Amino acid sequence: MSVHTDFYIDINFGGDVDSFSLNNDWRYWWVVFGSKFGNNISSFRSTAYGGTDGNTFAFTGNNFLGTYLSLNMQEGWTSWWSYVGDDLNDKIESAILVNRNKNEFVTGLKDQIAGDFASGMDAQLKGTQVSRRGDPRIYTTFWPGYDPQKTFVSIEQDLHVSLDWWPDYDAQVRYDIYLYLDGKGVVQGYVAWVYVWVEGGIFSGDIFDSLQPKLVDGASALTTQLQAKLAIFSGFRFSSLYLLPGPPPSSAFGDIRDAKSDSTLVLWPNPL
Amino acid sequence: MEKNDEGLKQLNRSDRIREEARRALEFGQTPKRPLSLHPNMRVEGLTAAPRPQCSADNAPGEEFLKSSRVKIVSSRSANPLIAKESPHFLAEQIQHELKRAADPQQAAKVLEMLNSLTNADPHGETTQALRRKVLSRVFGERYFESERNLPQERSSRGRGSSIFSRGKED
Repeated sequence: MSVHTDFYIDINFGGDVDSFSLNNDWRYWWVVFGSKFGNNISSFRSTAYGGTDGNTFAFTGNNFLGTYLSLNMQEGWTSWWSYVGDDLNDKIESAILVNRNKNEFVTGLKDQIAGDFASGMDAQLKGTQVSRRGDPRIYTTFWPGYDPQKTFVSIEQDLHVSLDWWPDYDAQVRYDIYLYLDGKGVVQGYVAWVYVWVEGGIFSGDIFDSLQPKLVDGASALTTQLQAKLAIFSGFRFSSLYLLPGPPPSSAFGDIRDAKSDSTLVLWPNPL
Repeated sequence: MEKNDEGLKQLNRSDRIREEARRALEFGQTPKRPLSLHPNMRVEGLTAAPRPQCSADNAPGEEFLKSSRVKIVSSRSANPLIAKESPHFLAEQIQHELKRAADPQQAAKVLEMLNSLTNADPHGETTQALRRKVLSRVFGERYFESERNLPQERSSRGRGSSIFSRGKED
C-alpha cells in the first residue's frame, strides 16, 4: 500500500469524503467521480507510505484532461489542498493516484518532440494548401475509449486549410504514440492512432477525403523519427515505463497545470 | 468572387454553412459528400496506424504489463449496484482488525473496510470517530497537520505538506 487520498466535498476537509488506497501492486488508480462527488470537490489530501513515493492528480475534465491540481509526496509525506481555489472549486471530475518508485528517470517529452515534429510537418505540408496553425500540443492521453488498456503520448496540431477563392477551413490532426518496453526491457514506440477533423462546412467532406490519407501516411514518418529519438535509450534496460500528465512534478507539495502543457515519461531501471 | 473570410468567420456555424451553400449555388460548386450530421458538424475520423514491423517483433513484455496495471473505479458512493454492508458489523470488524494495523497488508484491509463503512453510514458518529482513529493509527498524527491553521475564508487556496512529525506550510 502506498498512496492514500481523501477527497472532500467541503473546504478544509469537511463534508462527505471519498477515499482511495492504492496498493503497491498497482501503478495507477483512476477515478471518474460520479454524481455525488463530480463537480463537488473542494479539498483533498494524500499521503505516501509503505515503500514508495506517490502523486495524486485531480482533473477538471472527466477524461484526465483540463486543468489539474497535483499533490506530490515522497515516502512519509502527507500533502494537501485544504481548498482547491475559486477557479477549480466544484469543478473536479476525475483523478489519478500513482505509485512512484525511487530512483526513476523522469523527463518531459514536449522539448524532445515538439520542435522536430513541427519542422517535419512543415516540410511535409510545403507546397500544399495546408499549413500549421500554432505550435503542437504534447500531452498524455490516459485509457481512451477507443483503446482503453493503453496510455499514449499525444501530439495535437491545429491546421489551416486555405482554399482558392473560397473561405478557409480549420482542421486538426492528433497522433497517439504508444511507448512500451519490449521483452528485453528496451524502450520502443510507434504511432498507434491518427485522429483528424475538419471544421463544418459544405466542403468539409471533400477536404477530409483529401487531407486524411496524407496525415495517416505521415504516421510512419513520425514513427521513424520517434524511433531515432528512442535510440538514445537503446543501451539501457528498464523494468517499468509509464506516463504522467503535464510536465514532471515539482519538488513542492503540489502543482496546478494544464494537462495539455506536456507529457512526462517515467522509466524505472530496477526490478519491482 | 472575393475571398471574404473575415466576415464569414464572424457568422455562427449554421449561418456560415448557409452562406457557403449560397455561394456554391452561385458559382456552380458541388460538394462530393453530404454535410456531416456530427453535433459540431465536423467531419472526423480515427484511424489505427499500421504497426511497424520492428514493433511487432517485440511485443510488449510481461514486465511492462505488470508495471502498468490499472485499478479502475467510478465513485462508489450512491452507486445502487454496490450492496451496502451493515455499518455496525463493519465498525466491529474495523475495531478488531485495527490491532494489527502496523502490518502494511493489514492496514490496507482496514482502510478498505473504513471506505465501506464511510459509504454505508457517511454521517454516523461511529464512522467519524473510527475514521479519525484509523487514519491516526495507520498514518500517525501527522496526517491531521493539514487541519491546523486552516484558512477561515475562501479567498485563497489552502495548501501544504508535512513530513513525519515535522510540519511545514508552504
